[in-house]
Amino acid sequence: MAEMPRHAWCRVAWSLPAMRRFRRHPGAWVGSLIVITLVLVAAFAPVLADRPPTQQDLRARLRPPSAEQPFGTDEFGRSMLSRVLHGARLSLLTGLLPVAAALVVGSTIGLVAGFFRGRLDAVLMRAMDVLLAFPSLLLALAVVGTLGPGIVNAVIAIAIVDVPQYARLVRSVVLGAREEEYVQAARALGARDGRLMWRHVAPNAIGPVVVQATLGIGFAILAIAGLSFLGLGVQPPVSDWGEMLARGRRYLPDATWLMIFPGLAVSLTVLGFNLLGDALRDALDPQA
Amino acid sequence: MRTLLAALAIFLGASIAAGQTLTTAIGANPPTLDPQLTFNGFSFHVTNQVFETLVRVTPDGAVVPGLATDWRYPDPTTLRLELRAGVAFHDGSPFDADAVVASLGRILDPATAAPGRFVLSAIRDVRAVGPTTVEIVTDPPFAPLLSHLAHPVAAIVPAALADTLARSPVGTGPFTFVRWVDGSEVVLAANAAYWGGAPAIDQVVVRIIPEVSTQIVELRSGGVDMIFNVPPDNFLTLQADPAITTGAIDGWSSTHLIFNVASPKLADLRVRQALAHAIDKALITEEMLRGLAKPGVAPIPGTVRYAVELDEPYPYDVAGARALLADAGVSGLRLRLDLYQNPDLEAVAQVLQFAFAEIGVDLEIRVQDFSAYTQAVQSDDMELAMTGWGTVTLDADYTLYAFFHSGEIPGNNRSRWADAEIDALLQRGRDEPVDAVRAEVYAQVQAAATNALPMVTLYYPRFTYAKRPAVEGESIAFSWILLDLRSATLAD
Amino acid sequence: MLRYALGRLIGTVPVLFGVTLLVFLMAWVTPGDPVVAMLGEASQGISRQALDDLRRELGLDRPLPVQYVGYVAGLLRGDLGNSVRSRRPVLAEIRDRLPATLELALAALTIAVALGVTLGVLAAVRKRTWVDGAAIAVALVGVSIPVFWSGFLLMMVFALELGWLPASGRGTWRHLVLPAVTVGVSSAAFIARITRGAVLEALAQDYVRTAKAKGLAPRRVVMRHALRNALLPIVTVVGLQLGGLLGGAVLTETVFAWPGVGRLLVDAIVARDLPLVQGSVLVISLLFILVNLAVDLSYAAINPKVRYG
Repeated sequence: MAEMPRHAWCRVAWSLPAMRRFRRHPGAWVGSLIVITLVLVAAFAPVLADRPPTQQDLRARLRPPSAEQPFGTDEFGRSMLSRVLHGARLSLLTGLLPVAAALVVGSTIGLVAGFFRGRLDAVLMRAMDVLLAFPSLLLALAVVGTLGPGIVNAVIAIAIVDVPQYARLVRSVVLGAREEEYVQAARALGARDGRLMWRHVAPNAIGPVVVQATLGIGFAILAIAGLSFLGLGVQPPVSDWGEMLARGRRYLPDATWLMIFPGLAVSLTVLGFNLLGDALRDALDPQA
Repeated sequence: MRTLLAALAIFLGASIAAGQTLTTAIGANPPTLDPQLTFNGFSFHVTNQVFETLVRVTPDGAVVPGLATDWRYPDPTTLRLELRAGVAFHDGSPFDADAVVASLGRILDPATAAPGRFVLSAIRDVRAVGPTTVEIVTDPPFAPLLSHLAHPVAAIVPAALADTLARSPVGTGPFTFVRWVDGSEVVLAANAAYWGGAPAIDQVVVRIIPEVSTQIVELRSGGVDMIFNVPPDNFLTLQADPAITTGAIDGWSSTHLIFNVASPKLADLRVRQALAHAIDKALITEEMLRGLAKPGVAPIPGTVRYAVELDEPYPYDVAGARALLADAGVSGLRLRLDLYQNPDLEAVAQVLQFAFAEIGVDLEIRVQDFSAYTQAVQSDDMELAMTGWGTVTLDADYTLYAFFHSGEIPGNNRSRWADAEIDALLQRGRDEPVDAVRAEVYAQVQAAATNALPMVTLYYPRFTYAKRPAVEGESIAFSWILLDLRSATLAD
Repeated sequence: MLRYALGRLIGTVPVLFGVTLLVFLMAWVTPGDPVVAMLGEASQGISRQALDDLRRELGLDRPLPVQYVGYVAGLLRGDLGNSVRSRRPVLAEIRDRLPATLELALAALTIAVALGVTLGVLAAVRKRTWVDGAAIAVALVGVSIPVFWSGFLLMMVFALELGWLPASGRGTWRHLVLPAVTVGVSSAAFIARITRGAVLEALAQDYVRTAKAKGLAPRRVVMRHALRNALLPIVTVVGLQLGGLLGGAVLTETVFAWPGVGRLLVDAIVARDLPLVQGSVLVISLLFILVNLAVDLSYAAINPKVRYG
């Protein structure tokens, strides 16, 4: 394909059938809006917040929401508004990192297994089966429970949980694609395996993988929040929304604002990614 | 006529008392109900109702008769105890000297692998010298022995039932075991044949509720009558609630910030003094902990035998702290604080982080689960650590020896403080069971430790509980583990 | 088909061994002393010597590979070992907790299926109307809310404010309501989404359109033909949800003090009670695998076109 000027590429992409379906999907706009807002909040949190999230004021602890402190204060007198805004950074990161890692590792495994088949395929898929034998939260728990709590281990745990999904997904796409005529033809013409994998087979997988990834971000955020809730995720003084929920629950049923705002933030964020993922899936799969 | 009245009285009494159930809540499932196979507070909370120890501790710290009525030391290494007559285990088997020998023998036997054996490891021999007389021999003399015999692990169990005690505890205590729905509740019934008189409460249900906020909701909605270890903020709200009675007791706990004095960063006393001066203990206890803790000075709280009141040698003084650091030629100091997962400790750690930042010290907080934390602080690159501690025998030796004797490095003596004089004093405190001597010895140790700063004692948390006003007569000595329900009543 | 089922069952054995190996490997890389973990904060005050003695007496000082071999040998005899903390057989510990988990799982699943399938079918049949939009919205929200958050909210409203239901614990049917609804609604959201997609896909099939063209009443069409085909993915996701529920809805169990297997596992993990962790993970995985196998076998029952060698 000849090199087209960038803006023309965009125009072409925008009008592709999938893109058109995406544009028309109601959830796409809402989801995109939420996600973009989230990214902006995460990026500009220091500017948006009224004071640093770590600034303590032990004489103003656990104050309910007021004009001065729209989200109230926590048990250290820190501004909940500031903490929720800054929490977006870590929550976003802990949502994206495990998905990115799982995507890379899982897709590679799936690509290799599906392309080369044979014993390699059997061994790899058996390993995936072992991972899939656990209900997901349980596997994450087991990993974090043995590696020890902390944000790094929590991210690793969630990544491990997600790997089989991508492996299976990519493998099935590859299995389907490698039978395609154009692939057979390229092979007959002497194309090397690696190039074959990368140029012809892999692009087929991009769509489903992107959908899986977007939906996976929502799951990752919830899972990390769940781990933090059990005390096995993010550790203080690092704070993401899950950790705020974990700490805030001690002050129920009185200081409800400690749980309401981070909980809303998590729910909205996950909702945004889910809407986006749903719209993408519907756009890429015309039948629905 | 008289018999009719008596019968009526009994009938009325029985019907009034009938069905009186006291429900308490604990935060985790006890791993076992055999007091010799565990060192877990949740287990003890239940086993202390079913089993008894030879001696008891009262809320004012005195050691009083329990299953033993009298004792004396014929020689420094021998403790002779007279046992209470007419006591039987819940299954009817007699409580006597042989039972005591068998019970203590079981916990001391390596084959039992008892986690709490170390509490009684000073004991060399236990022998019956009569049907109701027992002699306990330690070698060398062990002055705190009586306090150790009051510890829940020293409860007297019927050794013949050893195999079934874990799920079906049988003891001599005021309540008998009915059933244990794993993870859900333990049900106990009043022991009508109890030597001290049957308890007024017919049934005790210990419910297992992991979440504190759930416990509070249950207390408020009537599902539970009594909860313990209420966090400070919730405590205040409950205190303001007219339908709930709250209480805070001086307990046996203390919270410490430990310095590794062998670490190059902290070897200079001035640095440690600066850090001590940067801490506003009053702010922590008054604001953070809502007055439910007392600012700490000496390494042991006032409730412990031989604790002394000391003046705070390092009051809150930010300018002074900065000056000391400048004096020591230190700037841009970065330190790491190790602690284990515990909401209160984590909270205080963050307060300290903020406080140290005020004097230009950058504090990194590392929270880990308990066994990883233990490994971290036992390694030589430990810098600061924070820990809660309970002097569960209420005797100064238990804590001071563990913290400051050089032989305990790096196990319990995490500050790695080694001083031959202190070692000698601590040893004397163990060897000589004479009150005056021990008081003097421990006073010296406490004063030295408080000034030399191997650690800062931050505060002594008070033990909190909340209950419905209908519950009365219960007695709590220092901790929820030592809940005494023998005289408790439930008005209705 | 029996041969297929047997083959699958036998195939699970290496997977289960892989599971035990995985758990042991993770334990191997773990920092921390199991004896200290077992005792927790209470281990403070115990001297090094006493801890070493205890470790030796409990057999925890053997190198992990040796422990693993011993464990597998026991497994082959049907012995899951003893919990380090309670000294009881692991099988007994799990057996005590299983009824509670099963109860919650079945109650939650009932709610989830009833709610989810109904919602999904409604949405698919009334596609592009407000019903569809509302159903999708409700399902999306249900999937996005953290379960422990909604659990607390429900508890505060129904147990504290209104006092209609007990706040926690297990006892009467009323104790089951809040936890089952909390988990069930979340599960229902998942099921609704899949159901909607599956029914829509089934409705778009050629033969359905033919049936409609032939003049068969639309409802009959839906119920008989489309639903039948849609059942495959629906049953799959229901199976997955059941598996997850059996894994112990840990978060819900924590919030509502429900004495299930999930809570047992978390406590065992925190206490580094390796035999109990192994045993729980093994049992839960086995249940999960069996549920998935049942789902796979049910495909043949639902759709005669699916045949198993």
